[in-house]
Amino acid sequence: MEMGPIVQCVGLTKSYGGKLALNQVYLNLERGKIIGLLGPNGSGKTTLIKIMNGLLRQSAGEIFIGGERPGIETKYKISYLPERTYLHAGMKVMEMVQYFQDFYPDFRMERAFDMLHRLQIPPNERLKNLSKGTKEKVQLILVMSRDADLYVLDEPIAGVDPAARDYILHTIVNNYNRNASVLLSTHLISDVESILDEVVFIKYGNIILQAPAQQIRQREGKSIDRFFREVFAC
Amino acid sequence: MLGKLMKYEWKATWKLLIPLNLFIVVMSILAYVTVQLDFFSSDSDLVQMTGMLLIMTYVLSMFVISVVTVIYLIYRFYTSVYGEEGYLLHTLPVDKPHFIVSKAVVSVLWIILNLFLIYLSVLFLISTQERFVETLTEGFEFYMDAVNNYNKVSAFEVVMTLIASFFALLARVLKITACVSLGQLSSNHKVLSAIGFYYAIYVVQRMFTLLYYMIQTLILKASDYAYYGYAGSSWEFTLLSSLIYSVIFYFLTWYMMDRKLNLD
Repeated sequence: MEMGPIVQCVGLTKSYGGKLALNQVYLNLERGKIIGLLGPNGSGKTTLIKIMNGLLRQSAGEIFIGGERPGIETKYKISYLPERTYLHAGMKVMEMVQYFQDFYPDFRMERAFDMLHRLQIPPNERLKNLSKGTKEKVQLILVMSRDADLYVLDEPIAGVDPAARDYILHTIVNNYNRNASVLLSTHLISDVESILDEVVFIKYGNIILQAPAQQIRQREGKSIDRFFREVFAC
Repeated sequence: MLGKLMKYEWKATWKLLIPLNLFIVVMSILAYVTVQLDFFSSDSDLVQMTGMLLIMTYVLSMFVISVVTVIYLIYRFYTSVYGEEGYLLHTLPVDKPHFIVSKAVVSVLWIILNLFLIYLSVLFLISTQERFVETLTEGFEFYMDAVNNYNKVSAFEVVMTLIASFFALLARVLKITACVSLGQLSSNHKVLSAIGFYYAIYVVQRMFTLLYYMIQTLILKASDYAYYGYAGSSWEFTLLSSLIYSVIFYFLTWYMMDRKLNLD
């Protein structure tokens, strides 16, 4: 079993043409937790997530995933769900399952088919024939069918109906490896609050709070959703 | 991993490109029938007109298919690397060079298949009806002369010319991947920016070629130069310049993918 934080940011900075998206971020994310990365639009959540996944390079500072800088090895460790639909529309659901099986050694095909069956998604259907919400479910199923060390989920419930949200959250809680962590970025805090172990607030590229969810609720005497609205009030 | 990437690249492109290439076969058969049944000598204006239309459609479709093939391959590269599909591609545990090689090789193979089919199609028609040859343009006759002249050229030179042509094609494909990648530097006009880079690189390439001719002219006597003719047409020049350009464009693509990636 690997020890140490799964994510470690040391003075992580990203600027776009002089505008700071991340400002000297120091952050450690421990293993075995579901962590909410919460902040308003433009706060730097997606920038941080992209750097973690090697989709963007930082301007300064360092980031380590399981002790390594982003690269091929860290891509084996992270299972990433972007907020975009990245599936090739011409492919069938089954072909995407095979695609993940081909590229990720930790992919569990039987788990994927089980979830597809539970959500009544036909494996032979082409992705272009599915609704936006169903495509998002397929993506989530693919991502959660890996035995990764870190699941990075960017807005995993934004496009699905409330009934499906419960199933998706249930899927996240029940399908991730217990030694792994889940980093969940979302605006819909009230929906995910119940499953969060830890919360990270990010504002203007700065981490302004990192604390256990339960501690925040006890200390502030209110839900995280309520507290978030107060902290980020316009 | 390279094999797997190429397999999926092939699967993603064949759905459009196989029917497109099959269309070449269908049009060739139609053109063949037109020539064989000698529509042009018919007494009926309608039959003559039909034959004319079929041949025109054949010529036009050969041109359109080859253009559509190239445009589709560029579109495929753009969407799969820098579009939404890029989120999946760039998070695969695969080396960046494998992405570039898989896409470039599959694109080159499609273009070769396409050109080969068109070449076979034309050969198929001209070998069956001499009259058809007469109707072809001077440009084609020039080509036929060149083919006939191959008899005076050694087998080694023919093979080297083919190899040089392959690398010239590879360099062109990699030039496009480099330009599409450089176009990502622009936040709002990525496609326009890519076209701009393509034009700028084209101008620089022309300047280098011109420089090569000038050096050639200085080295060779005027009479020798006249004898050798168009210096740029030699396989040595094509092979060397294509290899150099391939390496430059490959590294440009790699650099942009690895260091400057910023998906929307």
